[in-house]
Amino acid sequence: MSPTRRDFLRHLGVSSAALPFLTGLPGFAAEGKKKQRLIFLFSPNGTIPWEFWPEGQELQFKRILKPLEPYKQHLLTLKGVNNKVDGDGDRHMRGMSCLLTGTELFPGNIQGGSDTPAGWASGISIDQEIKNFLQSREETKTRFGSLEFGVAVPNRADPWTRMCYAGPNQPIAPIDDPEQMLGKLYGRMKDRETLVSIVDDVREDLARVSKNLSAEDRARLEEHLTLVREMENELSQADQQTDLAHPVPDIDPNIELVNDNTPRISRMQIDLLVNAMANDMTRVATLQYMRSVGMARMSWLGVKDGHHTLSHEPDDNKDAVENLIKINEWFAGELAYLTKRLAETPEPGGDGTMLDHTLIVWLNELGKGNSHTLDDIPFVLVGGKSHGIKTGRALTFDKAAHNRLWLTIARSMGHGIESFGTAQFCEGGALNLG
Amino acid sequence: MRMTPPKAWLLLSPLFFSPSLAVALDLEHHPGKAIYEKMCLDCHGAKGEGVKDKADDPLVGARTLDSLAQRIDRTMPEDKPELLNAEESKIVGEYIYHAFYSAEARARNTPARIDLSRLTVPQYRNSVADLILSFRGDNWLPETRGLKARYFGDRGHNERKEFRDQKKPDKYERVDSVVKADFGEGIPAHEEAKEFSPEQFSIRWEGMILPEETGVYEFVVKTRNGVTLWVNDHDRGEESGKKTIDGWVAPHNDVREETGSVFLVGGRPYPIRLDFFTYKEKAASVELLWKTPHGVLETIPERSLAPEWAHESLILDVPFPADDRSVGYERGTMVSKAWLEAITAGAALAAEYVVEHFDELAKFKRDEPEEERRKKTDEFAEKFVARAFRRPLSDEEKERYVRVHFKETQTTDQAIKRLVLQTLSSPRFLYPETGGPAKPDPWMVASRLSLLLWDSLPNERLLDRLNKGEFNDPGKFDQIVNEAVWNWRTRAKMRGFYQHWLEMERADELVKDKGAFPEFDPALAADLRTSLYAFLDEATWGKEKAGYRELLLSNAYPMNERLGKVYGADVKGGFQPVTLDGGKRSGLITHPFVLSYLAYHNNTSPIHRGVFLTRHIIGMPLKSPPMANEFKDSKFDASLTMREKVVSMTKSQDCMSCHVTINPLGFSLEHYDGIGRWREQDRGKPVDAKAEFHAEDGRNLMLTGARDVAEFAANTPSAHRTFIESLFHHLVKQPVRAYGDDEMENLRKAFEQGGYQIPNLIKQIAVTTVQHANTPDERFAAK
Repeated sequence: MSPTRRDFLRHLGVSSAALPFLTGLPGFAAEGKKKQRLIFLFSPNGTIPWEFWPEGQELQFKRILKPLEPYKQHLLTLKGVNNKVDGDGDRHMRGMSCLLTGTELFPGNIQGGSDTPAGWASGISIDQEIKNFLQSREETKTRFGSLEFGVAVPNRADPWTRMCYAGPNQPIAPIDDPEQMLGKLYGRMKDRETLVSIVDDVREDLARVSKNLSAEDRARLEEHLTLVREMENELSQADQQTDLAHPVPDIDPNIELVNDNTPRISRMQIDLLVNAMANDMTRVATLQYMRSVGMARMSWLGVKDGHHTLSHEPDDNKDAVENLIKINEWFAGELAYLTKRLAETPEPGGDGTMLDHTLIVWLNELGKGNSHTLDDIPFVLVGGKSHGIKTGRALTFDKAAHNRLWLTIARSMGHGIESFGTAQFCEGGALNLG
Repeated sequence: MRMTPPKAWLLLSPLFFSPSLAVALDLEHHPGKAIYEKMCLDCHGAKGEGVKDKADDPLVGARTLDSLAQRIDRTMPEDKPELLNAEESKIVGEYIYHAFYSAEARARNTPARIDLSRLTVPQYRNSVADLILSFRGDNWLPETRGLKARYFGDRGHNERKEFRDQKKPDKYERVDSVVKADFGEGIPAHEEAKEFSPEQFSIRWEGMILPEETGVYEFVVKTRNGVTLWVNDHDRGEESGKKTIDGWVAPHNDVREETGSVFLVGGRPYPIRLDFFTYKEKAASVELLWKTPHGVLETIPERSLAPEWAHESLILDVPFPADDRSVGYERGTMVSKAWLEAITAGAALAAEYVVEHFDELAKFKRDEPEEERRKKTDEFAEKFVARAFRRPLSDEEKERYVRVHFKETQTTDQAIKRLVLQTLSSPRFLYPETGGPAKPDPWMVASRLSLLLWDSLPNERLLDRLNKGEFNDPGKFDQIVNEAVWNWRTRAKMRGFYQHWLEMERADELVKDKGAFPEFDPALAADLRTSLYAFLDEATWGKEKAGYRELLLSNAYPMNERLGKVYGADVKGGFQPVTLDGGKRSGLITHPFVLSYLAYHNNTSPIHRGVFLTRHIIGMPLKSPPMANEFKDSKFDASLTMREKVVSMTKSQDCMSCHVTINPLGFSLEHYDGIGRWREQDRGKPVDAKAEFHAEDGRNLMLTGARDVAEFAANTPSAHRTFIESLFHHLVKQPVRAYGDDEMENLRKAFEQGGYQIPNLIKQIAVTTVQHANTPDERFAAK
């Protein structure tokens, strides 16, 4: 809201240029214990199971996971993990808002396709739970604690568009504008560049209009000119001071947030996410593609219909299935890009690559689109070596509640909780992924 | 020692009563000069400038010559007043008066000039807002109030399907005065809602809000159901725009408060839209409230809503350093680092905004050929710079300020961003007087007119009339000015004037002692403020019974039920004019809000009230007190009245040089307690509001109460001059004298002849200043 925005502006370009505007960035200070990071990546509307689940212990990839082939050894698929949360709200809603919270929705006024209307989730989400834990300890505390990225998320707050919750009834909106995220992360260094480009003109302008003025009036413009020169100096000094462990990614800040730009926006967001983590601004992040019931029209894949509409088509509609495979393959490709970026970046101040210290969890609100099942959600874990997770395999559970997966992940990051979300779904305890 | 003045001088002396002749006379050989040098110079300095540790203050003031001479005879030289007799005092008084004491002498000694000024903070904010608004059209204020309301039988702001299928209406429209409804478990009570079902319905309220003050507004929607609120957002789509409140999800059907804040500049209209729906919930209710910068949380009142749509305005919520007020009014004569930072941040924000809204501002159409868009982009770019600089661009300027950006950047967005950033950082925008010709042309006149009246730049209508050549036709020009005076923007500027003239910033933290005034809470204070604004608006712009005299003499005040209860009037409902205390009151000086903020937290303050009346209403200048002297209530015997305490505290001669004026004026308001209620007694004794007042013109008046003070001001030229001067400073932000020695007297006469109507005075000030020539030499206007 507006006060934050104003505070933020205070840090724009000018005097802050001379200030260490990146204060609060621990940089390499927080070494010692190995870092652990966590990323949740969400894509909507279920998958095509027979083209998703790999076969055999050797992970024979089907079409959808093919883009992840180079990272097979870093990958773990979890079948038989179900979202068992019941109650108010349709399955898309529960699929989304109960996914990371593992608990019921409040009754409310939002009507889905069927079932009873519902409101927000009644509990905190696991990413925020872990964030709070990390932020409570000096050695794992970061500037932001968590960052919520979005790609093509509609400008609308309801249980289909929100998966992160700071607590009951407290949904967190993802930021789906790379420019806004860049501003949040780097205090508008790009604007500063534009500013530098006009300072010369302003100086000339002041000199030009001064000519026609009396001595007294000219003195006022002289003062103005002196201040402009000072600003120019500060700006150029700021440029020299901004030595980051990882430089700010070069993104076009003016990209239009329209459907057809989704692939570019996605890559920008991934670049920013990896960059923020490389500079240790956060250790927890979510990356939400569209929303539950998302209607993205993936024209860049030659798909003309909206994603959700397609996902309702019966299995024997070959065209629809083909398109859905392409769509899910595209999401896998984005996950592959994220993986690649982490894998090719050496762990700052540590051993191995960033991927070794990062666990990515790919989520979906449904198992399958046309059945709206919340069973067999296509969970994929990538990386997580430092979390003690054994990858390069496919595991199958027997109808395990997904709350148990969140227990595993929390515990793998040192947060020894026994229960998360609705207690009955934690029976059996953490899933063994070691 | 006694001096004998030459006889010839005495014969001449009556001439000195005409100030204009005084200047012509030779002060070098004035007999008073010799007396001055002998008896006064040691302490007062050669030119009356004062001498440190002897007479610190310069020898200047507003007494008449007679009054000055009397005072010299009575008190000077200090400790030995017998050294000068009445005649000698008069002669030296004449010299002092004409050499440096009087306003005319001071004017002559320090010629006023028009300072090159930058935009003040309100001018900057309004100019940026109106610059961008000009690409959307202008905003207009309708006469009607309330919000347009559309009620639908379906939850999705639509008719239910079964009704649509049968072509039966399932919606209706009306104007709601406020948004406040509790439907319980039922439906809207309306003839056309008979077939609505409590299971689902929806409502959309649309129109504009009219905030009075600049600052952060907190909006609150209190509801059991789903709501979305857009404030100052152009987009009307469900998923678009900046939502001030996104409360679509309603858990539990409990009453909850959804909040969101927006920074708004007062006096401008902004679009507002509230969507509401209920679905399968037990009960439904909705109320739209706000907390204004000085207010308390309240249902947004009808007077602050209008049922027409307004264009969105870009309001820069950048923190600015305060403008320089060292000369008594805000003006743009100081540049500082903080200011440069603020305008740079403002320019960057505006650049971002323009890029974000570019398609709409440049009027792109859907599926338009690229070439057409390029043409529109160029048009926009040139227009933007020309409007910001308030005049058309030469070819050279087009190259320098417009085209260069397209050549040096890769994308249109980047070029536009740079263009906006540079334009709004340019002295041509920031200092409106630069870049024009010496002799004002219509562009300069339009620029000055809009700055003077609106704190902004010319709107489309003004530019239209300019382009039609109407500025050169005196008859048409008169109409133009008149129309501009009556534009809504002038009202906002006048509100600023009253805030300043009436020292309303004293009310910023207005808190009263709970023991002394238990009735006085923030809600009452907010209502008082509203009442004063409404009173001032009516006296300024009202169709009947308006004018400066009404401002001082009217005895009717806008009161609502809450105010009525405290101030002894039986009022039902909202604000309406009420005569208080049997008509004893008199204009703004007895408005309870003014009386409240010119008072202590637990008592009245004749000194604060007296100083205010002296300076701002009667128009006599005061020096600062010779020593800081804090009023400590506890030091006085508790049985003393306030008047007795003030008399005792200010009795020394040092104090009395000013308090001889301050006290009687302050005492005249003693019938009004610390929150402005009528009272007969103070500390169990009858209030004594009578006092003798020595006017500047030498008259002695027996004041019996507030009305006498108001009557005196309403009928006294010096009071009129004070009002005119304050208004002039607020509008023009330059000294009056810089526009000529006779400017003040001309304005005063015009004010008198125009029946003391304030819009006439505003117009007069505009007409006499906007055409003023403006070359470096001619800036030294008062010779």
